[in-house]
Amino acid sequence: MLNDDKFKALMIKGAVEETSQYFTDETMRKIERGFAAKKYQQPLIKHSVKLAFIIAFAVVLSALLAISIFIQPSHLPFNLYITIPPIRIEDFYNVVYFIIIFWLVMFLNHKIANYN
Amino acid sequence: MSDPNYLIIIKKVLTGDVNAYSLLVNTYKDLALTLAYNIVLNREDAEEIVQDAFVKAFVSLKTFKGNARFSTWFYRIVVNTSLNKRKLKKLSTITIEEHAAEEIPNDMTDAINQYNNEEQKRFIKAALDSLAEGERICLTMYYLNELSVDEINLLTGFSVSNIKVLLYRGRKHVYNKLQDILKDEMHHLI
Repeated sequence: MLNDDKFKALMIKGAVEETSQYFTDETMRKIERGFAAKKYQQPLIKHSVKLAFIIAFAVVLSALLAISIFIQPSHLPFNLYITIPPIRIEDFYNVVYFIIIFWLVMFLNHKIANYN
Repeated sequence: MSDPNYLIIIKKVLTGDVNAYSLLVNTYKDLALTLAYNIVLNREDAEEIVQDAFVKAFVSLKTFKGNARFSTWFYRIVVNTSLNKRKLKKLSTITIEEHAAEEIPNDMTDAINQYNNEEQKRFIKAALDSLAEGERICLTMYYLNELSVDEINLLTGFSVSNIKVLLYRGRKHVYNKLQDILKDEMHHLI
């Protein structure tokens, strides 16, 4: 029922829009400009520097894990301790309210951006 | 363009032969423009949309897996870019209330062939412009872009049954409109 060849011929005859004369050239120019820009773009941080950071991080992490598992604190030649000041209950509530309001505003902003 | 051909061109482009992409541009530009035009109904905007679509397709060419036709994949980019231009998320959904069981009038091809190419194009275009958006877009996608009903469903969000009715009604309306146009032309000649 839908395979109407005469109708298809009619559509091809009258309904196909033709692009302007230099359409292909202009499109290829846009693409080549973008392609050239991407080709010569240097990364912000060199790959070797990134790799060095990752390796250093892994080595330090492994060393700390090894120290904490295999060496008792009493065997260390130095004492390490951290004194945490007491947290007031009001500060605790302020932090919780801040987190709730922050995420509410983020959510609303996301919804408004989608709506727009 | 046959399926293996465009895969070869895409492979060439991905290995750095940017100029090979112009073959794809030349193959699909007119039909892409027709599709974009039937969504935005503005020629300048449609050309801009198609250019942007070609650029987007080039940038994301490596994501084209080859499990669907390139034309379907590319026309999806054209449709989405057109909808962005109109600041829409999707085409307006249509509720089909009646079942299109009416007969299609006799086709107009013999009557219209009496006119020259320019006039034929003008009449057919006028008939298509008078259609509802859904009918116009479905007819373009099915008969010109050669997409299947399932592919049209993916691109537009219209249900398969709606698409079939839109195609059926769209053809009927085009034939009816052409009949009216040709009657007016004869009347003016007399």
